[in-house]
Formats: sequence, C-alpha cells, structure tokens
Amino acid sequence: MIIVNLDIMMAKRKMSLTELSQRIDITPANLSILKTGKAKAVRFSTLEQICQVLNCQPGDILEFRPEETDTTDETKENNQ
Amino acid sequence: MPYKTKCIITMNNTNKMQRIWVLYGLFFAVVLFCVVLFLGNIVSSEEPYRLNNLANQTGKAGLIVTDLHPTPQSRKAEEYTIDGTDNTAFITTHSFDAFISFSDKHEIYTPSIRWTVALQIFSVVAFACIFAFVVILLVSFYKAIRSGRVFNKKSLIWIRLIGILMILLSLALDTSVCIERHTARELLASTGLQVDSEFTLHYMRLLFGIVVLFMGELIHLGNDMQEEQDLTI
Repeated sequence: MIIVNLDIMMAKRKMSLTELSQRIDITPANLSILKTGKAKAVRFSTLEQICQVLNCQPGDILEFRPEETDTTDETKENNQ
Repeated sequence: MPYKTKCIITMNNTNKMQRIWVLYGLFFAVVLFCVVLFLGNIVSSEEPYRLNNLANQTGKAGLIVTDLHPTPQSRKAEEYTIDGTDNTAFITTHSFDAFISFSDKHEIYTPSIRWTVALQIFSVVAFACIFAFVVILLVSFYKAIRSGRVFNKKSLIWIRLIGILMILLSLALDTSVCIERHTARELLASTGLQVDSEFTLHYMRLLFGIVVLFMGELIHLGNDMQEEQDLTI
C-alpha cells in the first residue's frame, strides 16, 4: 500500500495544513483527506505543486509499504 | 478558477435543468391525462365495464373473465360489405369475455379464486408502490442534479425496488390471469366452449423490469466512479 508522509514533510518545513492548502489552491478538507491516507488517487499536478511548495521529491511524500498478508506469504516461501 | 470558466459551467447547468424540467412536465402531463381518461371511463360506463354493469343488473355474484380465446365456431371469418364501396371486410373474433354468475356468492371463492384475488391485490399494491417510487425517484434525481451529485445510493435503492416490483408485478398478473382462465375453463367445460388456459408471459413488462435493474447497476457503477473522483486530490 502507498503511505502518504505529507504530515512529516509539513513538520520538517514547519508549515501548517491551512498554509499549504492556500499555497497550492486546494481546500483544507481535500488536503486532510490526502494527509490521512483516505485519498484514492493523486493528480500529478497536485503532486507537483506540493513538491514545489515543500521543496521536496515525490518519494519524500509517497512511500510504498507491502501489506501484511504479502509479507507473511513471503516469509512462508523463504522458510520453505 | 477563472471567471470565464465559471460562467460556462453555470450556463451548461441551466440548459440541463431546462431539459429536465421539460421531461418532468411531460411525465406529469401524461400521468394527469391517464388519470382523467381512467376516471372518465368509470363515469361514462363505457364498453370495458359492460360486464360490470351486467353483474350489477343481475344482482348476482359472479366471475368476470376477459380476453378468453375463441371457440372453433367463432374462428370462422364473417363477411361484411363496406358501405359506399365495393370492398369486403372479413371479420374474425379472436377473443370473448365471460361473466359467470353464481347462485351463492360464497361459491365464487374457491381456493384458486382466492389465489387470484390475492395476486390481483398484490398487483394493485405493487403498481401503486411503483408509481410512488417513480415520483420519489424523480424528486431525488432533481435534488441530486441540483447538488451536483447525480449518482447516490438513495436513487439506487429506489431503482432496484422499482425493477424488482416490475418483475413481480408482471409474474403476479400473468399468474392470476392463468388461474382465472383455468377456473373459467373448468366452469365452462360443460357448455362446449373451449377456453385456452395456457400460461402467457407478457415479455415486455418483464423486460422493462430487467432493464430498470440494469440501469440500477449502471447507477451503482457511476456512484463508485463518482466517489473515486471525489477522493482524487
């Protein structure tokens, strides 16, 4: 699953949700949806604006983490 | 958002609302026309209700069975000359209606007739429910379009109910007619009249119910797409 680390980057840059939403012209509600990981998809244009404002790379904001079922299957395969 | 884009969106919504208002107007105009026509037929006691008048005149309880298939004698085409022309019309009756009167009204309510009455009551209730649900659905659609969320789960529930009731209504009506004709066949067996009591399914009613259910599934898909779009940042 994809983890959104927006709150970490916002803390590093010492920027609040409201300020970031004003800078990238997205409502605080939508930004909150993104931050809490409830979003289904992110537009490239939005990602570009976030990276520009926070001065970071997309990889700093998005992280891939395998799901728990996948890891247990891999563990079983390794044990065999 | 630029001002120009906002204006275009407002104009498009206005045109859509106008089209929707026209459709709403047509729907309720047709409904009103049907209601007036139906009440007019009841008041004027026209041909479709002749058998009811006969039942009232005889003062006996009876079973009215309509659209029975013809006897061998009535299959013969009778020849008529059209006035003012040399043309000839060949007329064959394909169905007849029967009013079977009973000396005692309690004799009518055989188990099969009870089933027929139950199915017909269910059909009337189902038809009224379908009409009510359609009105509710139209109101729901109007609110949904105004709010910008066209696909919602409430509309889906009403559409599925309408589709299921249409299918059940079709089956109930056809079954009740079949039972009625079967009863008429048994009662009229000694008269020599041959009554066709095969189960006849009205495919169009059934098909309409299935199409409505299919539209419901499309709305379900649209709702899922809309939710996904809403959660796309």
